[in-house]
Amino acid sequence: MNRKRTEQQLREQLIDAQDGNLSRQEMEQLKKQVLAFDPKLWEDHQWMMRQSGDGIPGLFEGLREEAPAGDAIRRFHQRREATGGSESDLEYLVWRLFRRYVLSVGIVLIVLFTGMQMGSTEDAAADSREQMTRYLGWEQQQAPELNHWLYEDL
Amino acid sequence: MRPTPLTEHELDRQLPDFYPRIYRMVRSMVYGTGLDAEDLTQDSFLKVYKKRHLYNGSSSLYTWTYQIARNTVLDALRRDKIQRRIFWWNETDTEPDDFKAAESGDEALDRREQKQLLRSAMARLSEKDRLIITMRDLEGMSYDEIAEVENLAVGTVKSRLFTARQRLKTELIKLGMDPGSEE
Repeated sequence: MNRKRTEQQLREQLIDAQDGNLSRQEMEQLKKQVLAFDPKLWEDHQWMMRQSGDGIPGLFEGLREEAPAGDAIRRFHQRREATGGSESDLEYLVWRLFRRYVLSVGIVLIVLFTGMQMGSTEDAAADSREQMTRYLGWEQQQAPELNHWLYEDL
Repeated sequence: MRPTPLTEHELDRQLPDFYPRIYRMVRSMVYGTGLDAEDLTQDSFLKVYKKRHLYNGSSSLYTWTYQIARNTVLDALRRDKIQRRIFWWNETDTEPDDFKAAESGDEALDRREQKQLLRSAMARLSEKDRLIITMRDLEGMSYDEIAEVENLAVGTVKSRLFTARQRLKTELIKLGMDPGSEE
């Protein structure tokens, strides 16, 4: 097991210790392991345990009492109304149906259209091949005559 | 899977319970940036109402709402950071308060100073560290809930939490907290 993994496991166990989830025996063993690994970790753990007698969460007691202004929720609802509220269930249903059917049909149409386009391209290619064959056929027939006409004087 | 979509009425019913908790998270995340926690909380809930049809019940409604709020805040922080880089000459006083604990020897800091010290230290942490401490230590969320919001394994959540607390300790000490003291 590498050092980083060991350190992560020790940190996890120290948090369990801070939550009071370890027996005395487990604590003793953990202390030995931590001190052997890095005494600084144990020192930090001790500091965390000391805060306000309740550990770090005790430190936050004062902040936990803070609350938003009394009319905050009323002001939130006012803002929600002002910004058009939220989507109604009907709007959502319409949007869901739109997504499910209109978009699906759209995608199917795009696929069909692309397929047809490819088909017509293949037809066009076949036409062009036929024309080329006809032309080449003509060229092959005419070629000896042409050669004769071109080179007869040489 | 949830058989019927989440209704507005259900959300209205949960809102008084969720709103203060989400607000605290947002406030903890944006402290010292100049972003408005109330506005961002409202933005998050507007998204929740708008996207409620996407809730499929695979996680608790609170975790789902929290995830939307988390993403909204992180996006806002990212945009804010970019704007600050672009408009660096127009930077207002939005840096985290450079709070220094009073030189009071063994005298305990009063409650207000403690809060201020903690806020300043939190503002100096990375967003990732701030978020995990907020979820666990401020909101008291379970490791399973955090793992779900962050899409991480529970073991990784615990390990990251320990690291984040270590960094918080470093920042608190930098700001003047006595390392040997209890708060």
